[in-house]
Amino acid sequence: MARVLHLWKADAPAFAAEVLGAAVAAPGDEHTLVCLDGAPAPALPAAVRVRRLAPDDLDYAALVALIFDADRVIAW
Amino acid sequence: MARNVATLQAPASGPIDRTTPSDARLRVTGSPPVLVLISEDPRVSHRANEALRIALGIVAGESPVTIVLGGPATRLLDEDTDGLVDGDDIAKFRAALRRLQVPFHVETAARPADADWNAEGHPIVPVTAADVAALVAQARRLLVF
Repeated sequence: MARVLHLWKADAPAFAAEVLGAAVAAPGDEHTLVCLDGAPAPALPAAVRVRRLAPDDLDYAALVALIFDADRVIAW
Repeated sequence: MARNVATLQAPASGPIDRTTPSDARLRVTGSPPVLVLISEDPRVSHRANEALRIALGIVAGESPVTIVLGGPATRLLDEDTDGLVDGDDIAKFRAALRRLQVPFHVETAARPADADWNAEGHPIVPVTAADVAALVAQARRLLVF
């Protein structure tokens, strides 16, 4: 099971949200989505772990750790 | 000769109009492809043209490339490029991609109904969001514009 980290920006296009939804719905991988710069999280299955780059969640150091910990990083 | 192309059901020649995209089998030539996903509207943004230029640059290298047009980016295949930002460059780049037989994977729901859309007969592969997700899963890199 691969660990996939999705970096989600506020200006991500609508089609990217559709593709992301289909990608995380496929079984087999563990998905984490990090919302950058106050980006709202798209509707996702409950199995997807959603984090935020924000004072009450991830700081940049923790984000870098997540990036290096992931098998795959996708910047949407 | 097609080069550096990875595609869902790559066309043997000319444009194809696949009606059952979910049945497509993935054919990969060489190493996993770089997936270039373009959603920017070429009528209002320079980024769509830049994405096309970057995709062409990757094709010219050693990496296989899959190009996906979603949302308003399907307008990159408009016959009349006067209405597109950087229209002259877009015409040039897509002609080069056509010569290299690199198909565009086009979001089915966003495909324009205009009669003159893709008048040049560029090879296209209709795809759904689920198809693109499958391409994302097997891509070596993903570039999103």
